[in-house]
Amino acid sequence: MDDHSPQALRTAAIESLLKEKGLLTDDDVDRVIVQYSERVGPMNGARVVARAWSDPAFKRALLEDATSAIAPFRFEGGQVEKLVVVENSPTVHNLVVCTLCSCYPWALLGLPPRWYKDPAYRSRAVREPRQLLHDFGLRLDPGIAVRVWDSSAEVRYLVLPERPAGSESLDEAALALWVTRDAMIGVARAESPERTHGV
Amino acid sequence: MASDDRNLPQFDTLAGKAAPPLVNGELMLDAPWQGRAFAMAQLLAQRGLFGWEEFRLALIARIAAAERDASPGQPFHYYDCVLEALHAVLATQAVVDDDAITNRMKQLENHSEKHTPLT
Repeated sequence: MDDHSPQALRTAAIESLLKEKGLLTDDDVDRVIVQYSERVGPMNGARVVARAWSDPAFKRALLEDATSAIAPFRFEGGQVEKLVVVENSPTVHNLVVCTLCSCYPWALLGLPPRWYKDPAYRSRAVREPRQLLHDFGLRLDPGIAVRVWDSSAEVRYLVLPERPAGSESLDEAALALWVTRDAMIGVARAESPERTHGV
Repeated sequence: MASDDRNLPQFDTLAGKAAPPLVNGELMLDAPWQGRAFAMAQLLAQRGLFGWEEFRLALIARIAAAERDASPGQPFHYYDCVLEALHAVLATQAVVDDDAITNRMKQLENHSEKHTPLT
């Protein structure tokens, strides 16, 4: 333990007692903490995507002028000055990068993942996007066109993923839980209730 | 991610003063223990060791007490309240008792001291 504060000690004591009683495993707490950055941060963006999936009028407005369409959400953070939302379809897949630095829609997606700032990601997204997506575990049919959007200080992009199979009965709040940060950057598809539960 | 993690109690159920500090929608954490304390509260509530509502009320009570006892200008520490609320509901539900926590803290402290290099 690097932190010897009374709070850190008390937290560690509680965690160790709970593990001893079999109420928590070694991985449980770590797994939830990872979610804080990968799921909670991007939750604003996920709400926008879920609204677009549920409300065709909102979706039209979002694709036309995303900056105005998301204004009623009143997200905090000044990073989304001009937001452009690009829609995936059965024939088009969108991928977002910032080739110059790491421009990113913070207010919607929280903090950018480390790889987003990585020079390899930034150059490969332009040079060989299909191979890059393959390395992220996303295999695209050759018939699907890949469009790459280069973010800048003026314009930030967000991918509107395709609504996943098996999500027909879900309401907006439940839908948002299937929208991951990676899907909104374009390196993954939205998670599917069907795939997860093997229905 | 384990699929049942989707059912963890959500932050947005903690409104007003009980809401955690967020930056760009992300939890603002100053030290690792803060995230661990919050994660334990979510996991244990999900597993039914106590109700999320019970935790929420304990948190609100701790925040009110901290505000009442604070001297002027003293900064407010949200996660101290989270940790105290977690400790309180665990003790109330007899999941772990105070003495066990105190003893374990001493053990961990002694262990840490032994491993601190002398300078």
